[in-house]
Amino acid sequence: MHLRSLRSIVSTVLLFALFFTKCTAESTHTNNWAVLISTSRFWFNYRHIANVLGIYRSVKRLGIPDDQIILMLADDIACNPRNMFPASVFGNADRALDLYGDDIQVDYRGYEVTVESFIRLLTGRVPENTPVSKRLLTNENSNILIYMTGHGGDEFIKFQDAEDLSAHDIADALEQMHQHKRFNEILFIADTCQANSLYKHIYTPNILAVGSSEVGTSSLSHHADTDIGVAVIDRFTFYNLEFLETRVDIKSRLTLKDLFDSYDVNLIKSQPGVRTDLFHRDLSQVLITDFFGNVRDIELNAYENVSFLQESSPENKLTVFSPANDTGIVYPRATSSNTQNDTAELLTSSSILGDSKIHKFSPFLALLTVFLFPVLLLRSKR
Amino acid sequence: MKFFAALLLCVRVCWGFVRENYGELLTVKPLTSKHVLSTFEFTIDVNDLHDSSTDDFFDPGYTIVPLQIARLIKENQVAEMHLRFTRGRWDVELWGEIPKQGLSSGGTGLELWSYMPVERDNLHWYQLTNQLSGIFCASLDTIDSTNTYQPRLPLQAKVSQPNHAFYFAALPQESVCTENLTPFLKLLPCKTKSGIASLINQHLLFDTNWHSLSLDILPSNEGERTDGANVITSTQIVITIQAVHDVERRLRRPDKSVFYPPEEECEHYDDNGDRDGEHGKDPLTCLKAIRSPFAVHFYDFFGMPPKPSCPLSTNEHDVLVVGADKQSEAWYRLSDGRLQDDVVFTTLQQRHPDLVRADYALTNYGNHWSGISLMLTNPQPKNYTATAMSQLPWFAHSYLHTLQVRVNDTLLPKEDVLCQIAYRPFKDRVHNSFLELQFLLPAFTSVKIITDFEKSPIKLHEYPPDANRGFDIPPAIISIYDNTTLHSTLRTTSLLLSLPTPDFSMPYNVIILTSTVMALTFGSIFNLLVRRFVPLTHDKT
Repeated sequence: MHLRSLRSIVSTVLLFALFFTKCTAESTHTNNWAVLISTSRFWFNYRHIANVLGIYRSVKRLGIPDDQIILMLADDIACNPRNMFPASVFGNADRALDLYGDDIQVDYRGYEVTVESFIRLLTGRVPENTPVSKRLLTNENSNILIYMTGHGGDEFIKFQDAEDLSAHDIADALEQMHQHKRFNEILFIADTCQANSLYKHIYTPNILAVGSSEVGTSSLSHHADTDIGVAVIDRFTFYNLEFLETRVDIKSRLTLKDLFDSYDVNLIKSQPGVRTDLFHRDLSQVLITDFFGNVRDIELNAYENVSFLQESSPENKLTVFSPANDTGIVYPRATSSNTQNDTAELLTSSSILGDSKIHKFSPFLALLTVFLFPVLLLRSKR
Repeated sequence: MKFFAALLLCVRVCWGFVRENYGELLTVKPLTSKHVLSTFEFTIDVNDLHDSSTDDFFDPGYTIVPLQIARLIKENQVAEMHLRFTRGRWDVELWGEIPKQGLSSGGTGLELWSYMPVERDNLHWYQLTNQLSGIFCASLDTIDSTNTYQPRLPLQAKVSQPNHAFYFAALPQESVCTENLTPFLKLLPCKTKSGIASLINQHLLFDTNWHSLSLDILPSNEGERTDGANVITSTQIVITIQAVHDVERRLRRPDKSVFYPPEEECEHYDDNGDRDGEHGKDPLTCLKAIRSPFAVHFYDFFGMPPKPSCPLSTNEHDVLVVGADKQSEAWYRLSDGRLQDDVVFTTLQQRHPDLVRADYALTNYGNHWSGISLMLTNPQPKNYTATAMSQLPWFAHSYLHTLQVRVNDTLLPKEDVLCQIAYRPFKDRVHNSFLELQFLLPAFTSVKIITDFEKSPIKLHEYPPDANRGFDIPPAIISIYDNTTLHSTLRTTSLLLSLPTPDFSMPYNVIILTSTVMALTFGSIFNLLVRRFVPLTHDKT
């Protein structure tokens, strides 16, 4: 081959490589959402509601506001006439922590939790008059945590003892979300019997899936409360919550690998599974707060006599310059509480932080390179 | 802080853009020897909610009126609205007349009344119900054409408007819990940080015999502007949270997460294991209705720490505690600290047998026919007129010709007792049947109205997931009139209608069976037609 053609080939290859490079270590999301669903009805499924409420509480504690959490509870347990502790749901027999709290927003309750409403919520095809709090208003920069609990089986999960949602439908709904650019990354967690079969058919990139038990085995409950009369929490969720409550706070740099390494099969008494082939980031670099929290990285630098906000760097960090005599305050300010117009949301919305400009143009540049490559090849052959 | 709030209000008033006023009041009143009624009432007066000149509602300059409600009212052209969440049963015999003539509480579950322009496709009504379901975390979006109704018998609107009518819907199965309470508290100007709302504790509120949360939007046309009798000049937004507490149960469980079983007051066993009336307590004590009254300190009763008054409230007093004699009143302001010493009393048992009562029941004959009976008892020496509104789901085919009226258990012809009937017959899957009756309720009589209905089968997918529980029938709403002035409103309990349920596994069974039959048939015929038996040939060596 001629030296000239070799040079042109190498240059086009390098051009290709440059435009396709994407920083895979840091997360590229700008907002966090959570879809937490318990699909079981009746009093003896108390533990499923407690599971979801435990995760709800953790997620709120780590910063995701109520407006960005869709909580779906298939039955009313807290104010159920059978509940000896009205307006309380406990996830532990010591009853030290009331998971229902005094500021809870249940978006879908009772009979509204159906397979149809769940799929409509995910894909965004909700009926016309649906209020805003019942819609999943995500965009392509949203990281979504989907947590499902209830009774399930091989490739299905049971809704309200009346209908099933199959693993194929879950996979198709997630693919629809991908086609409509409704998420950046999804962490899908299922705590049901044979939960690992639920994520078997997912074929969409950027999804990390976790199940609580292998096909053919059940997920077990942890313990029961004799006054409430039924089991109050499931094992898989119990150990997840223990990790989240004792080791993770809003400033934590713990990663999902730390969380998954903490799973002890002897304690959980079932084999949890993790599906990572569709997820392009290394788990040891994915922060827990990338999915469970609503944390933005902030660098606070001292700079003489200047105070302004600057457009983010490609690593999606918000750099705030402030006068030198300011004391450094570590962000994030996003806390769970009354969230009518949470101003912290304005800072985390994609309009200010936005995408890194290189990524926006990369498809165009890729196409250009594809057309350039044969032209250059032909030219070199002459 | 209070100075600044007052200054803010002054500025608003002087500028004359919008005048808002806020007041709150907590009333604690004993009802029986164990029951106490607490009423939290929050009132916001505003004068330009319906003013069409301020169309840009993104900046109406409201400081107290919750913007969600203001926007709701403007967008859907609502003139008057009542949204009520209630659970429990108001026991008229034990507790007396229902507070505020029953106008700030509803029937079991959810009740929504809205006075708005009549539309053919009810567009704004459905928009209103969906927006409310988002705000109050309730299943209001299940309100569709089947359970919407426009009452026909004259219902007095506060300010009658042309081409407006009342829209009504009831959801008796709706549960009321913390997620419904929180939005009410978030609408208040001081929220739960100060004022009487800081005393609302959901563990206390939902552990009661009867509780009700309601939002009322009441227009009025009094005031300086008199450019028309039907023009709404000011609006009152009232949030009322009421509950009847069982004080004995409250005292038994001070800590919300610990449960102590009740004391054995009624039995005493001696060492031999025999019941010993001499050494033990009097067994009749627990059986007698009259007990010694309970007394508990005000802040212990509510279980919340003292907080100052809401600085935006313009009422002189925040709290009214009625004494055990039901007459004496003590007025307080939360911030003056005198409430620490006040004690909430219950009172000696006092039955109220002399009030009008309503009972509602299903008369069940089996899986095909059933009946519904509404009984009103008037033990007073006064004649009343009553208006009763009841509904049945569309699959309970009710027939008006089966209507029977019994006065003091004697069957009378309908025309003698009923003044007016408004009946909307059922239409399968389109709307429920509604029946409104206006009839006389003479002194010392009981009037019983019975209709029969037929339970019709419904499609498999129309059953709820817990089909064997049954279907809820909303309570009947009865208004008692004393010569055209409203005396009181009564609500009965809701009823549970059990429909025979089909075998839900039948679709699966049918699919499996027909698939098997088809496979076997096709397989056999195909084999018969296609398979040839070819003899094997040996090579003879």
